[in-house]
Amino acid sequence: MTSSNGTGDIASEPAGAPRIAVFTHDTFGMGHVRRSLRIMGGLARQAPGSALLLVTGSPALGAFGGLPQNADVVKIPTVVKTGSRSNRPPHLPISQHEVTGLRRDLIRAAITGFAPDVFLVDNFPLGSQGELLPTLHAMKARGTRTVLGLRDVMDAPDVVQADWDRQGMYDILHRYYDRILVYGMEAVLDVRTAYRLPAPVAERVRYCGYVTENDGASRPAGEVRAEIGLDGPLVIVTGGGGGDAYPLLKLSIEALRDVPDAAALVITGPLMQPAEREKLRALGNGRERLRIVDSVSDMPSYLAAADAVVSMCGYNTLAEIVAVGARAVVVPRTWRYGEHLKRGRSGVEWEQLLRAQALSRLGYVDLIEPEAADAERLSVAIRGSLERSRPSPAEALDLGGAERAAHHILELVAEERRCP
Amino acid sequence: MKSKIALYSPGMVGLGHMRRNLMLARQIAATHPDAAILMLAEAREACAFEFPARVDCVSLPGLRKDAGGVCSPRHLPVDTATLVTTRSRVLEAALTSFEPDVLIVDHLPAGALGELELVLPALAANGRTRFILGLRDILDSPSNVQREWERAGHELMIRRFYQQVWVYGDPAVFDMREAYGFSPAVRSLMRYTGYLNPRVANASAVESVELLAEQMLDDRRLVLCQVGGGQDGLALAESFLEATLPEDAHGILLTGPFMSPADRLRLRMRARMRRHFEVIDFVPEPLSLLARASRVITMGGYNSVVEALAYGKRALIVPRATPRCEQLMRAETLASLGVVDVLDQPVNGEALTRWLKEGDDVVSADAAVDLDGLARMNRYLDEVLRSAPGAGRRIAAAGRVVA
Repeated sequence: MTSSNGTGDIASEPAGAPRIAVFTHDTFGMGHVRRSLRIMGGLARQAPGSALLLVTGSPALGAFGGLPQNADVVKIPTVVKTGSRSNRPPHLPISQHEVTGLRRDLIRAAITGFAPDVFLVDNFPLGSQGELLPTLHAMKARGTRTVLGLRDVMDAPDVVQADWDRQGMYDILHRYYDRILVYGMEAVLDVRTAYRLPAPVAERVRYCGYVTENDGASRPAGEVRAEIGLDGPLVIVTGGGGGDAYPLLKLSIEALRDVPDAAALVITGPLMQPAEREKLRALGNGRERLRIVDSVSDMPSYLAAADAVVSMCGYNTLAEIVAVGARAVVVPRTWRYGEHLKRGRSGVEWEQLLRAQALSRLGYVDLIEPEAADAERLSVAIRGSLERSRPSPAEALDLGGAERAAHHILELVAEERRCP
Repeated sequence: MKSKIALYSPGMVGLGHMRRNLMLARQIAATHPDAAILMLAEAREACAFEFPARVDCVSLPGLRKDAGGVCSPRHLPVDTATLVTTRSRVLEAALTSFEPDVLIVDHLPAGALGELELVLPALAANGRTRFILGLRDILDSPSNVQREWERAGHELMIRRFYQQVWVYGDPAVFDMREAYGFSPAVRSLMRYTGYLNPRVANASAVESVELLAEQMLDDRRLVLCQVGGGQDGLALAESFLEATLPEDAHGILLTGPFMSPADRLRLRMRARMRRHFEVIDFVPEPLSLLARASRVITMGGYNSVVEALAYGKRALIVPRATPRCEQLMRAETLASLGVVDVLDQPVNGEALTRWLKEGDDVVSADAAVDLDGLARMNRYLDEVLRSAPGAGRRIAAAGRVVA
């Protein structure tokens, strides 16, 4: 490559700032991208001079202004094909085989070109369809430290074990990953035993705590209440991103009929299908003490102002609820994302239920098991929540995940520089 | 015909290249229902645009070119060589893996800092891809263009790889074949498309912006001031906020995504002290604001000017003169045809106030300027799709022999 071709000259600058590459699979919902951006935020705070490169196929990226100044993005073609009409991700009308090849080549090109000190992979050790394998191989060869970040709970332990056995993942972890960061707590799930990690892999595990915005509410409850414009005890129902929230929100609107003195705000989330949103509005029509909105700009302040919260048990929503100390009734989702319309016909996903069971055991939330969830039980639980004071759990939930993950990553940068 | 089209925008200065290519992508997607379209574009901003169905993007980490023409990474604190290596490897992977039937390259035949140099020969060897270079109406002064093209070897790249060179302009406004003294080989590849009319490409401008505008405007006339990407629009923006608007008008200043946060804040503070002024940072499609405007004050970039022409708005162009004098040339040429006004003195509030009092709001550019570029582009594209890969190059090579 010469500087004389094209226009412009190359400015020369000394190399040397730590380089960290992050890969986030564009899975359903917004959770993975948000978690990655928060960890990049932690890295930017602790190492403002570092260079951060995010590689992702997530179409949600444009919706986030959350990239630090010292970060940039290589967006690759998206593989996820679900979402509401207005949020349907762009996709190329080429075969799955071709998209996989394109993504595999792009990831390797971007990461090897950037030549990072540390390569952080979110949740899926091989990405989609094994697309990360050539990149991991190249990273090993050049001495880049590799880190796998796992959510607090992935799925039922036996499901994870069976998947990993079938996919040869134990061997992949052993061969390609220097560190495994768990964005959760051992008290919630001990991943070493739950996933039966062999000793050499188990040694690489570090618990980071939950990755969330823990600045809490930025506005006083009175202000939020005035904005909602309803008095009386406040119940907030949140659908998280909203792509999978319809069944619970519908159930909640029905259940709230039997909590007549409460004011209710239902937040559908930006990813809900417009048709579903319309159905909820029709259902709530004529209820003076019920408001339905798509989203709020400042979720923590709203959650903090609530006397009771109703939600599913997704990672981000839960961490936000715990961070502001709200009392919550959770009804975990057990069908696969985006498949609530064919509930029961596709596989079951245990992640939310396991998280909810652990957090209810620790005293953070009130759990209604999904198969027992009906309007009557939910209204009883909401009334119970309104009568009791805020939770005072035995063990504080660790919410310092972004900073601690950043710390572990920067330790590996230092190690790589000492001993490349 | 099921075809794969890739469009490359070099980025570096502002959003113009990206937005121009996005117009092409929308038009191609609308008229080629089987096409898969991959945009290769710089910057996180690229992903903030809404893509139509069957269009996706690969984004490259950003480069910045300063007023002296020196390139450095826009966001990442790495050396420029690392950034260019990353970008060129991503481009190589994207294009060799996607194997487009047509690659449309905007502006630079070898890409920014020559980053396409590795991949063009590889693509040419696959026997599938045809190459098209897209140029805006006016590049720079003839002497600068000749010097730069010579230095960068653009002509050689075109003759080696490209089947057609599209010019998104009108030879009746500016004929670059004459002005820049291109060789017969390059001239033989050139096709004038006409200006790319954004009203055709963006039929569904963003509704929420329209609503926002209505709320703020409350039936008042709108005077819109836009400074492109915003990285060098501060003087114009400040002058606008000092101008006196007509009695019944409301002024909106669009700062663009590349203006520094400190400048943006200062402008917003200043607007707050004045009645009927508003500052907006960035909207992906400012066209709904423009459609509602009575008058426009704008820098002289391709998109900004063509938008004003397409919507028949009376426009005052305040062109940038460095690092290249393209904007000044465009403004003066179009002013001589009577379709825009150009500010021929240093910009300040008083000058803008005076212009706001003069003349009619409506201007008709249709008779003077060809705005049919998107339809013609489509015909040229189909011509290329029907041709055998490499056909144009042979013609160009023959042209060189003759020359």
